[in-house]
Amino acid sequence: MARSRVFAAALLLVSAATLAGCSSGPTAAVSSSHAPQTVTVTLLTHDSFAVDKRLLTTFEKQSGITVDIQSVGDAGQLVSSAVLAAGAPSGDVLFGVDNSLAPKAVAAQVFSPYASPNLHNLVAPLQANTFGGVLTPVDYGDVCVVVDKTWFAAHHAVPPSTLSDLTKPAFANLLVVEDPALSSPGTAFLYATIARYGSAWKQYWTRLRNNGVQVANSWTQAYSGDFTAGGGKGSRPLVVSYGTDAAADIVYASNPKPSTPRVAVMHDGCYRQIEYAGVLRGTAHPAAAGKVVDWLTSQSFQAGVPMAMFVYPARSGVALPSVFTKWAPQATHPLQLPPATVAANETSWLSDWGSVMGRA
Amino acid sequence: MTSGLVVERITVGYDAKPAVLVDASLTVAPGEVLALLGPSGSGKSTLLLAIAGHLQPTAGRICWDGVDIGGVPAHERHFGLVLQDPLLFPHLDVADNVAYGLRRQGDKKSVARAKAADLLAWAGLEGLDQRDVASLSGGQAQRVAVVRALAPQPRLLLLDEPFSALDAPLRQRLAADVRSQVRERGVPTLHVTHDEVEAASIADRVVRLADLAGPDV
Amino acid sequence: MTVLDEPVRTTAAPPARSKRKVRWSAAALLFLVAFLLVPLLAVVAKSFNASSLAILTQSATWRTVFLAALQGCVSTALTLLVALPVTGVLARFRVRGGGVVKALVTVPFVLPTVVIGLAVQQLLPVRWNSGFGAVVFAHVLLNMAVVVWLVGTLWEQLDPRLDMVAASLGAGPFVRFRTTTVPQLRPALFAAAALVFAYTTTSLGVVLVLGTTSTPTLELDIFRRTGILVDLSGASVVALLQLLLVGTVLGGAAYLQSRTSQQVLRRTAAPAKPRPRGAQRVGVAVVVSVTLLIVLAPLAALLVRSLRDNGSWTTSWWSGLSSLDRGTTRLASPIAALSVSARTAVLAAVMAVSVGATLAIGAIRSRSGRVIAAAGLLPLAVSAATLGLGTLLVFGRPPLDLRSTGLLVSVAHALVAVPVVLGAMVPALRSVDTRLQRVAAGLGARPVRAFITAYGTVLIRAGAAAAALAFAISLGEFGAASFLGRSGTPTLPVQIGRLLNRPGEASVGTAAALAIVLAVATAGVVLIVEQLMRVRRR
Repeated sequence: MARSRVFAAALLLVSAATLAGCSSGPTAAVSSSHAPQTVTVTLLTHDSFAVDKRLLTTFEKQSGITVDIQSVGDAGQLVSSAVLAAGAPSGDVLFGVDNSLAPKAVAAQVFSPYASPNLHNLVAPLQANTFGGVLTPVDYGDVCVVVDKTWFAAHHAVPPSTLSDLTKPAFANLLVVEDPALSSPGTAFLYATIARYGSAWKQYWTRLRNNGVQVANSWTQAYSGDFTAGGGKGSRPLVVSYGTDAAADIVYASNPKPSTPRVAVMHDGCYRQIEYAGVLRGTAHPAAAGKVVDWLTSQSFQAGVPMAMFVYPARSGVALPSVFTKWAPQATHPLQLPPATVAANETSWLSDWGSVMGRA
Repeated sequence: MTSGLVVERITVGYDAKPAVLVDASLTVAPGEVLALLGPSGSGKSTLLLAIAGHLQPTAGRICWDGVDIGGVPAHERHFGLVLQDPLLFPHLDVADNVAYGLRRQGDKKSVARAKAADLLAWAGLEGLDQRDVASLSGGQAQRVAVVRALAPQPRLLLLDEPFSALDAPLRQRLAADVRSQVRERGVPTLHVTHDEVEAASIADRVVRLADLAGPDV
Repeated sequence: MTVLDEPVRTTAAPPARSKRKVRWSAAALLFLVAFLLVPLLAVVAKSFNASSLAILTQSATWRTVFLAALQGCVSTALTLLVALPVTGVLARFRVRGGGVVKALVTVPFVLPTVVIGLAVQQLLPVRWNSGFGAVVFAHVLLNMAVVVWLVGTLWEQLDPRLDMVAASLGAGPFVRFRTTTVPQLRPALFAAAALVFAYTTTSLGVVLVLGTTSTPTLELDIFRRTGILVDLSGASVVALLQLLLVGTVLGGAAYLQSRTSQQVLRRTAAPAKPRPRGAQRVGVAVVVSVTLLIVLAPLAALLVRSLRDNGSWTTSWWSGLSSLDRGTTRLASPIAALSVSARTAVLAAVMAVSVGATLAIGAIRSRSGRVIAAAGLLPLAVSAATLGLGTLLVFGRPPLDLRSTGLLVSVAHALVAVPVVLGAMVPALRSVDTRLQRVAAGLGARPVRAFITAYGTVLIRAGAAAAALAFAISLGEFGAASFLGRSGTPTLPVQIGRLLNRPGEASVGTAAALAIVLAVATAGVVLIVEQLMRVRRR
């Protein structure tokens, strides 16, 4: 058979498939038989988003909305993608923009205003946190220094308890942080030190550097490679990670689950990260999109947030699972920077950090 | 001591298949041109490759000037080889092809090329030096292959049906040329062929493979 | 091979025939332009701000370029050094279990780069498991397959009798290799080196897991800008810089390749490869064992990781695989993920081989062959991060919403595979003696028939190799799949990526187990294709 004929056939096949796919797009999808009309709302989110499928189906049945969840890489890539498409988005709702990335997204007019009726059900400090009425808080978490308790016990040492402890000789060569320009926990930790030390933050990092801090390119490298309790061959018992890691240590252990986690969280120096959802400007289904935002802040969804994503629900009065109450208490005084300050200074902070750490 | 090539009762088998060549013996005296006749597939090429050092006999031995060369690797035997196809190095021009053996003997590139040019002229192939080997006709290429094999002054020249891919008139012409060339340089030659006429015209002595080998062939 | 006895021209096919091939090549090129350049330009157009041009004047940028190029050169040289012995052994001898060796060498190439990074991290001693050495080691491991397939396919076709003749002229084994084999392999060596260099200088996953300040790449910089900083204008500038630099290197390599390649002496009746004999057996055994050690050690480290829990042995991660579909939307059962990966891969392979083979034929037959060959390498120079964003921008929303068709990931994978397909097919096709085609035509065959007579076997063999590689690439691709996939079941690499983003023993242990599953699946596919190719040979 002539090569050219084979190629032509292949081309035809691909084109046919494409056309066929195009014509049977999301609007033709039929899922719920109970609702009079079916609208499909595309929820753009990142790779760490998770929800129990039963919750999803229940919502779809009750609302008549089919939720098409599409993940777009990590949070930063999600926001970049949304910024590029501002005004003519590829989805209807976006979830996963955090307080550091939000200013950029809002400035690029990615969202259209939406006031969810669930706003007044949220934890008090978060209710006003809407970036001018375009974003709705959905969950929050802390980035903290995570401590390998077993290592410290084995070395008969006391773990550090404050940010300034980390610069003390007693804790030399024990800490690994992530590059704030490459990894979101790294960025959060940097902001924590800026929030704590203000304009003296560079001196703090110089002291950290002199104390042998290791910088990793990614959370995976830091946690799985350099952290002593990450399963790798690491030599660092202190790592910048998430405040819920102790709970995760138990949940994600093999059976029988241990009664106490191997890691603990240093409560000083935690940085608060809040995740938001918003209706995308230019969506064809603003009302339905709003309903999805409402669902994300509904009691049923919020109750599942801790175990699904290992963060805290933004809604007040949601019961936390016992493993959370025992091992993942929220930081009482987490550090935070005003989003506007972050937006204005981020680039110079990151480049200054690079100079201080010799990574410019 | 018998000078020249002496093959004593060698047996050669391929990879656990039944041996193609069993118990064969022959001699090539200094300066002699010997033709080895036999139909295709009878093991003539096998014998040739064993002499060249590319196949190991499972029995018997091969001697040159009385010395057993069984353990000598192919590249140290100093036996020229011309196969059915010219097998000219495609990345080298004609002169460099001819010069290949001379370079291996230590000649510098310019010296080797000059010698190659002389040899080509001597063989009636002047002017082809810088030609791309792909542009040669079949006859020209095979001629070059013979010159290439003769250039490093081999002790023995092995020819495995070198002209069978060419048409009849060309075959005769080339056969005559090669005969005069090896005579002039005094190189003992083992010429394997299935063509009786060619065998008779080129060689001093003709033997048949069937007469050399043991009962199984 | 019939040897004609009249002077034969050296020039390539007559112009009349080449016009038709150019038209097909144009269609293939259009595919590339549409899915490569348009998305990139869309991002640039949308975000470009002249102030970002200042990036080009910063010393940090050029430090990155220099270090990335240095690392690329070292990685490429070392990859060739490590991979050539086993390539030669597999090409020249019939080795028992040779197909398995080839399949195993291909596995690291296919696994997501982050997984390989993790495996190397687990394997190397603590001091050595990050930095320049670790990155280069991971790169060698990842890219050995490129050399084995691209150079091996051509090497297998070399006429071994040339070696015999060279030996009769006094050349020992190494001299023969240097003076007769390498020159004939040059086109494939160039192609492989160019590919490996492009992969390693634009490396991201490996650098994220194993890198330090001494191992930056431009791609890492783009990742930084599209991630944390949302500096899309800056990312565009760096992406264009990368396109320019890598494109120039590849273009140069393609140019050099077309200048030096000549017809190669292909063996005609393809006799069975000989078994190694005597001293050869020792050499073959050494080469194969060393290669297997290099390839299997990281995989073994992964296997161990999948069986460890906090210092003790466990099978919970493996037994938990079947219940991986925990009811959340993030993960799915391995079988489901594997079948999604497989479907995507089949489509990707079909597209990649169609486009790649068309370009390969155009590259050797038309007058603008060099341009076509260089154009086919374009995917290597376009930043993956930017491409993802651009593809979503152009093809992920109305009016051109291809994302809902589910084809977008396959298209992205096909793009990634096209350079490899080209690399597998062009050197092999170039080696065909164009006289064969003329002979066939002289015997009365129509142009297409003549073409097939001459190129048919080579096309099938090289095409099968290319298809296997394209399938394998798609199976293990992570970036595009995580960016452009449809909702619902994620591919296996995306699953692994999601697991690696989560703390806890179960996460890494399960990710390692899934990686082993992916490795076995890949090895299986490659083995099957190898067997099919072997059957064809008989």
